[in-house]
Amino acid sequence: MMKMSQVKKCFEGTEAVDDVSIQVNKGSIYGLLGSNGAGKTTLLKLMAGIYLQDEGEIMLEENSIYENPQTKGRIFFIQDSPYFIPQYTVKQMANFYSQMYESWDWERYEELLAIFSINKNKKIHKFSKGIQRQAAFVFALSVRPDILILDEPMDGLDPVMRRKIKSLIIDEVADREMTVIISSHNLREVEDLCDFIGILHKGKMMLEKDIDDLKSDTHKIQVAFKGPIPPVMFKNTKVLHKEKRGSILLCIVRGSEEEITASIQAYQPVIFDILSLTLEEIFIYEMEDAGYAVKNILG
Amino acid sequence: MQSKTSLVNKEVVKSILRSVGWVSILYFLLLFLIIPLNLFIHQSNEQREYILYENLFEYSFFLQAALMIGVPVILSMFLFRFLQVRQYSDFIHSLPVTRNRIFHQYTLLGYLLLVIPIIFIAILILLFYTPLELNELFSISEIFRWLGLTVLFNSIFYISGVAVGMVAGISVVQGVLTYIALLLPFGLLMLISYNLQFFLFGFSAEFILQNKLDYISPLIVSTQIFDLPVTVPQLILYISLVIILYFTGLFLYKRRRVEAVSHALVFPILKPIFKYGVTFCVMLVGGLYFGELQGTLSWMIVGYIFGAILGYLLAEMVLQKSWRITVHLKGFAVYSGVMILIVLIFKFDVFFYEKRIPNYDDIASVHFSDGYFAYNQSVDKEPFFLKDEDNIDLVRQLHKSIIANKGKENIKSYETEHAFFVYQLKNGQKIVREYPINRSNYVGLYKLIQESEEYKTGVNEIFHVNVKKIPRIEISSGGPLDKRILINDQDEISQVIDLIKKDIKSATYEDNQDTSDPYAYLNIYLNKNEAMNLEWKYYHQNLSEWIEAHDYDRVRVSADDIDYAMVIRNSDLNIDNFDELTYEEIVDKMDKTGRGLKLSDAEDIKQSLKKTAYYGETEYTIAYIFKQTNQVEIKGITEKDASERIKEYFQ
Repeated sequence: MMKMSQVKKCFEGTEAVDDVSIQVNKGSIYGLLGSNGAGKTTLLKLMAGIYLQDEGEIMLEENSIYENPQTKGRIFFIQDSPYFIPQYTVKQMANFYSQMYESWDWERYEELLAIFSINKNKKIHKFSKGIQRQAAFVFALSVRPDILILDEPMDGLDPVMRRKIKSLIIDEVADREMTVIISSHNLREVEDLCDFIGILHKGKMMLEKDIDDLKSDTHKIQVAFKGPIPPVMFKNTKVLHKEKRGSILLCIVRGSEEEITASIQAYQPVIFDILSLTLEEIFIYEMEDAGYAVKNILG
Repeated sequence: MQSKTSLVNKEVVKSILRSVGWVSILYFLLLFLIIPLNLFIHQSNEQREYILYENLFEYSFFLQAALMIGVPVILSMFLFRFLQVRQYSDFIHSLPVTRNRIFHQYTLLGYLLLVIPIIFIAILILLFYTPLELNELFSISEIFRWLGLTVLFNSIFYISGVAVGMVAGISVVQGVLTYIALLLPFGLLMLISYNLQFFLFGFSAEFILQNKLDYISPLIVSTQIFDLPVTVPQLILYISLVIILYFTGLFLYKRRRVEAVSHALVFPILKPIFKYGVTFCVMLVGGLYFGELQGTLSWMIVGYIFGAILGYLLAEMVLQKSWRITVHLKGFAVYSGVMILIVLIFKFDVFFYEKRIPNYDDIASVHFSDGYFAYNQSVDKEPFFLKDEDNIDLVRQLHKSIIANKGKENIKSYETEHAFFVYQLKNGQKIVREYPINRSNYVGLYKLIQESEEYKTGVNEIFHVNVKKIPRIEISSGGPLDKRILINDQDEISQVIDLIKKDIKSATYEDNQDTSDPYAYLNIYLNKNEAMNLEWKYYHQNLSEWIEAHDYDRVRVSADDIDYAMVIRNSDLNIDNFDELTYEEIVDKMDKTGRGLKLSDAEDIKQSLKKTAYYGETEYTIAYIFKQTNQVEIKGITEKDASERIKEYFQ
């Protein structure tokens, strides 16, 4: 379990990360969303022990991360554009990592090389950006880290490769409860992967949600009545959004499906539909409730 | 969980070798070309040239020094490249290794890579010492001296580069700052001293700077090691410096923020220090430049203002990494205020530096001369001090009147004379002052001091030689003829010395100031090789009589040596700068004017030879054409010393 509490980080007076508390449970995939400059990368580098926070605490289980090789040995960080030692071949880089990380797994490495069909004797910097990113994944997964931190990992990958990598990550999480923290400025890119989402805006954590809860808890309903709309219809449910289209009332409400159905059927509507929402829609409404235009935040 | 990485991580070692191994190899090859190859060529040559190189540094020292200064800093820049590139830095610092470990591994391995080529070269020379018969050139211990010093200076420069690398966020800044840091101690001392000389009347920059203080900047010392010995205290200082810098580097690295990569300076606290440091130094340079160029205080102030602005802008450009900078006027205003305050403190002599002349009763002795060079002539010679009460009093009086005349003297910058005082106080303190003066304003006091017996015996070396040890005295004419006479007889030698002493004692201040040509030159040998040089001049009456009596005066150029002489008035010659012309050209010009006086009569020539001087500044110029060789010698004659014949002719 990775835990950040009230973490603050300033760069020359401006707060890049401001009072952020996060808890990432073991075996979960945490999606960190935010527009450019929101502080995602800073937050990830703090988690990876590259930066030292000005205030607050960052712990992996009971241990600090910064300057602590024991914990850092369990974490692997892939930068937004992966970096390799200049002039190194895949093989040399693998040797380097194998010495650095105790958990390095040569078998897994060979396996992954085959999956991505990467030539291990070639110098990495001669590869295209996409292949370099794949190589980074090969190394990351061969290290078999407890925590994998990915900064905008899907950039520059084609859809086939994305799917491949997503499935590899999911397998790894399922297999050995690896924890993944993944940043993106695009919700759609990670919504099928993450089970937890945090939205960062101007260094502050705006929203943190369990996606399963969110999905089963938020619903779009369409209702129409013969007469006027009963005023007390929603007294037991939280309405995030309400809109009237002719005689049809369109609402986004929170609560379990059964409860909502029961409470609305009691007023005998002429039309009543419960529709499912995309994650993006849920966020838009959730944030609207909090007073933000999510379109601006998620770009 | 125990990390399986051992103390030395094999892969880290490999990565270091791959990135900077070339520096080591290149250093070895270049050193090989400079020393062993040269030795080999030299010793295998059939006809060995006997150029005696006394030590190994003398083989292309310039190249050796360039490598010694360049290689370690370049190595430190490439080695810690990972600190100065954002992605590289993030990569390295995401790995499960402590900074302690990273620093030790990189710094020590880099150091090995630097030192190994030097050791290999030393081993090579040792191996070939006997086969190449290098003992003809130098001893074996010389090889170890070379090895030790080369390693030592490499270590200082390398570790300085490493330590500076920890505070710099750009490789170029790392390199430049390293050299600045190495030069700074002495450079700053020099700048401040020369500037103080302008503000503090009597401040002697020379005294501060010539005091063998350059050891505080190892960079300067390293360029002199081929002929200057490095002393034991220096060695101790440098070795401790290496150790201190190593741990300073480690300390700084552990506090270095990874995110500050690509800033010129990583630690925010260093930015103002750097900014105002640069402003201050460039300001001093500016003031000095304009001050030297124009010689007035107002120009110097212009130089300060210009320099400060330039320095400030430069520093801001480096820090903001752009030439299009936003200027923070407030900081500069505060800086200017402080500087004005400092200038005022010196200007109004708040600490009574300028007015201070030690009390008569406090003075044990005083050194008085024309400058620091007379105070510290050579390592093994103590400077002379006046102890006589009258002399101390006179020197104080002179000092007083120089201070009283501050700013009123008419000093010509091209012939500035200096008065240099060192008071040795009874309480052990030393007070040093140096003043640019126009000596003609103080002739009276100078005459009294310099004509005193104490002064004469103090200044003239001849009073301190052991007459019995003098093997010979050589008298030579100088000039085209170069006649020589040797005096070997011990009695004659002691007679000559006694007479010279007598003549010096009776000489007047004016005699000593006289710049006329000597009759001949005396080389008084103190031992086999070392000689003391003295001029035989017109006022050495006792000596002249003795020389003539012994018929040694044939060494002088006489009328018999000369075919004829040609005299001309300088005003007829129209030569602006005599130094630009050769003797032949001057003679040509003399001929062309047609106004010259030709002296062929022996008596006339003899008269003209009585008192000549260096040509150019005198009223008359005279060309002597020597017999047989037809060689030409040109001299000057002043109106005062001109013979009747010459005076008559030109009237």
